[in-house]
Amino acid sequence: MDMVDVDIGKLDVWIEQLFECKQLSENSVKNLCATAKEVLTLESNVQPVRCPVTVCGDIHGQFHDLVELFKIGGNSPDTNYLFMGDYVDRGYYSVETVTLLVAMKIRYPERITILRGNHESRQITQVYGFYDECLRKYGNAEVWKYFTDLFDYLPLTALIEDQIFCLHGGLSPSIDTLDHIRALDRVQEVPHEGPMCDLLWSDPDDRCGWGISPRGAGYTFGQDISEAFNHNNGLTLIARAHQQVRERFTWIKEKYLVTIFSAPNYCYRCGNQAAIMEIDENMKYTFLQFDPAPRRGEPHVTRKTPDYFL
Amino acid sequence: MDLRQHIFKARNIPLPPLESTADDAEQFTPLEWSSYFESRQAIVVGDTTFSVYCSGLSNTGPIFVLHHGAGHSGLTFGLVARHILNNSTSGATVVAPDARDHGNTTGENQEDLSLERLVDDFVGVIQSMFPNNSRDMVLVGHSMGGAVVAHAAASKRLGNVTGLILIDIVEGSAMDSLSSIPTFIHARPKSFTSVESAIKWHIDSGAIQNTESARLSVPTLIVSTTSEDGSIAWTWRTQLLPTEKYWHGWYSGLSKTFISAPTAKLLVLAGTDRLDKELLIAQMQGKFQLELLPAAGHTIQEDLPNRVGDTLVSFWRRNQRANIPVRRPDSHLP
Repeated sequence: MDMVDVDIGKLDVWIEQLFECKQLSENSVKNLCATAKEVLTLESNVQPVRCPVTVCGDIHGQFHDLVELFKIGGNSPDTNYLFMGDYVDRGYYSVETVTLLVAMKIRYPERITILRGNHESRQITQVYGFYDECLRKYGNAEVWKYFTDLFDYLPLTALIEDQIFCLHGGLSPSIDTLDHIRALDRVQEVPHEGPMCDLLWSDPDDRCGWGISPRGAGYTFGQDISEAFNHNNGLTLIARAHQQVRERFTWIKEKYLVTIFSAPNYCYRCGNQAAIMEIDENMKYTFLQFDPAPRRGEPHVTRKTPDYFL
Repeated sequence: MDLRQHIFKARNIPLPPLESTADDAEQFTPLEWSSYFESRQAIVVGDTTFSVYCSGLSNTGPIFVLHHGAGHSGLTFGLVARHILNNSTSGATVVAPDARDHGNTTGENQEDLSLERLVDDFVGVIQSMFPNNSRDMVLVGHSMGGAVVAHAAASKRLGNVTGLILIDIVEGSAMDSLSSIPTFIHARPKSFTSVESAIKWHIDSGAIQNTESARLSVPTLIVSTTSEDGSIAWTWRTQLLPTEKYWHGWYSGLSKTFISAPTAKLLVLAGTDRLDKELLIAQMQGKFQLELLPAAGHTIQEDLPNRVGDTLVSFWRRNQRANIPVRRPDSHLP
């Protein structure tokens, strides 16, 4: 593979630097993203993954909690990881977080899988923080552009040992089979509607059938929908992220679906625990819960209050 | 530093690109409401005669009811209303009342601007105009008006409310800013020498970023007074400082009320994401739709009226019950 001026030695130096929460140079990010594009473009919309693997949900720029996650789950490459999107926005270290995960993906392409979340999008990142953070840390929008162009290549879903189906959001009324997903042209900005949008935006619901999502994109789907999808596709479980869950993860009745959220004390003020799901070589899964990493020297980002509110 | 610079420095954003208007930006002459709404109704509820701007009253599509914020008037939604009527096939009705002690609304005892009073007024006006309503009704409130419509929706006193939209109001940040609002009010001019100078001030200060909007809405925010020497001055129609005792009540518990309202919900915010904890958790659980419009100031509906109009209609359309997909036969279990 043509590595565009990125070799393993350089990658290891970058990864070490990133683990210290130090951003790469703009040019390094450019090379990193160019290389990552070559790796990701070879992956399927339903990327096959082998067990054992540890499945993780939203990170949202909480870099120190990602480091905590690796402490709890085990270091890479000793532990294989599958991340289900939403690496950027809201937290203060989206740049370091997404750069580290992309660097790890290139370094260990068979051991790290990174899927696309609804925040891996040009439109969403412009208003939820990643764009502003890139401007603040690099003085221009080039790094934002390199990453958001790369996001178009991220796989939409993964399939662990043909049994556990992993994705960021949820199911779509336009999709009955995994082959429908394989047939999608994913290399584009996340659309406002349609099957690709639904995979990144939908949520499970206590009500049966399909429902209009209160989020304004995607759908809600009941356990009957999950059960039918799993049955039709020979699956044992759907694992997804996208929602903060009060009990860290929830079983929808009959264990068709699990939600995994991996950003503890989300946005530094929600007080929630986080979880990851370990799947061993026999496809048995266990959940590991974790608390936020101890904070030291968190940047004080003042919340802008409006001038006038009547 | 002038106020406009101050505001944009505080918000840390560049001066935004605005929706262009055909008007000459140098012109600050007032615009007539009749170019934006089809009629103005006088609706008597209790001790007060409410002035209500209306368009599409004979239509049969959704009803958008728009409640302005404190110190504003129904004309804050003039450009939004015209855009909805001219640019959608929704067959919509749009109504925008002037609240008690605002705009052209008149009556005795206008000083009570408590949340309870405002909600009663709002519900009374709408029930009077749309008795036994069975059409889709979407309640939209800006700032203080957001608190009024949220409580109206949560109270279930209005028939067939299918949507609730709050424009630039968040309990947490409103509460944080309450103590600084008197300073802000004191910093405004006490009076203007002409309507044009009042319009110009709203543009120059950044309070309203769209000249056409300001030319329409600002004339309703001021009234002429004759001073002792016989000269005419224009002073604020609504005195805001005496309403300070109600501010806490407007916003206290708003996030919980909004989240629990039994309808589809949309929050439209200017600037960056500044949800309070309760809203952040609810949003992360997928309980409402959030639209962020960084280019706009606090009066989003005046700054970006076309964008807001489109957002209102598409929100209503998306949440129609007919949009729920039917399970396809081949996805059933055998």
